[in-house]
Amino acid sequence: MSTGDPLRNEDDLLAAELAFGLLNADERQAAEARLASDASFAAIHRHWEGYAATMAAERDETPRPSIWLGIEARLPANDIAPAAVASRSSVRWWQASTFAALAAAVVLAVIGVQRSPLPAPTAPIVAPSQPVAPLVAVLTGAPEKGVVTVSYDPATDRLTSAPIGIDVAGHSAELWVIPAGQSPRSLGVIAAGAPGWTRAPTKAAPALAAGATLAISVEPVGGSPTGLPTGPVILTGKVSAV
Amino acid sequence: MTWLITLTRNRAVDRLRAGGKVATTTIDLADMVADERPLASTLIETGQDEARLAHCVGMLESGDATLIRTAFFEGSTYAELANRAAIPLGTIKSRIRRALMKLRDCLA
Repeated sequence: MSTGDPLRNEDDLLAAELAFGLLNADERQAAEARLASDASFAAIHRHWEGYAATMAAERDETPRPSIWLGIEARLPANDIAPAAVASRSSVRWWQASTFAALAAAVVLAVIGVQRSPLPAPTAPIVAPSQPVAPLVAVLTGAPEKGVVTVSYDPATDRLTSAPIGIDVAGHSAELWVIPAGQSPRSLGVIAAGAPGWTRAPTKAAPALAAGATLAISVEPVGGSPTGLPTGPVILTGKVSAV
Repeated sequence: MTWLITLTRNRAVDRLRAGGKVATTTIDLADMVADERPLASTLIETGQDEARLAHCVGMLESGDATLIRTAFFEGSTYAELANRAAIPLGTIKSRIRRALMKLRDCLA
């Protein structure tokens, strides 16, 4: 109760202030240092952290689809960059993976708290009896913008991208498919510094056909917030069957 | 789940701060009409902890609840809240601390 031991109140308040992020940098450091040395303070703090985290349940927010695509594209299993390429762009990769880890945590936190089911995993692809020709496109633009080669295998739903000389400086490169006469559909954010692959989003996959236009636009980190390109289109190319 | 939410929040706040981005929009406590509390219907579906916390936050004066929420969701410290709400630092501190104690007693 509030009439309790004033010392206990002080600890409780400090723990709450730390959990809700009210303290300034110095106070925060001091309080965090205490967590390591004072078990009972740490226990009170864990309680408050729980309350604070529970508050996140109030927010009914869903991450943008491009966040999922970005995470998928950056999972370690997809990291097929050769060592030489990886080391050349290690800084960018490092940044990209930090972002991916953060985005993953955000997504998991929000999704988990909402108690809503995770998006259904991509259904296993049943190999069609007729072989389907893979599709490729070479995306070009102004010479200094670089080149991205994209291929898509409808049989496995694998969309691979191999960028050369792409620099989006602090932004994300988002790949789009533009079916004739329709608006662009996002294929997700691609790694600008290394080859990568992802599964084509179900909404966009049917549009991947010979003759369709692919484009790469420069978007805020994580991809377009609107679901349509918001930044300049730097590269385009036509899809053709191999 | 708690550690994940906490970690995410802290990293997000650190990143914003590292980039020099600090929330500065004015908090107008007097005109706070929008009730951000979840609807009762959604409360039924959420866990006991959420329901209890929502109930206890609901017991606070709406301005106090807004301050605590803003601190948590927007990463604002006492000093920043004071600035944003145009209330002296000492006043905002004692106001939030009182609210935190109320919250604790309600949750206990």
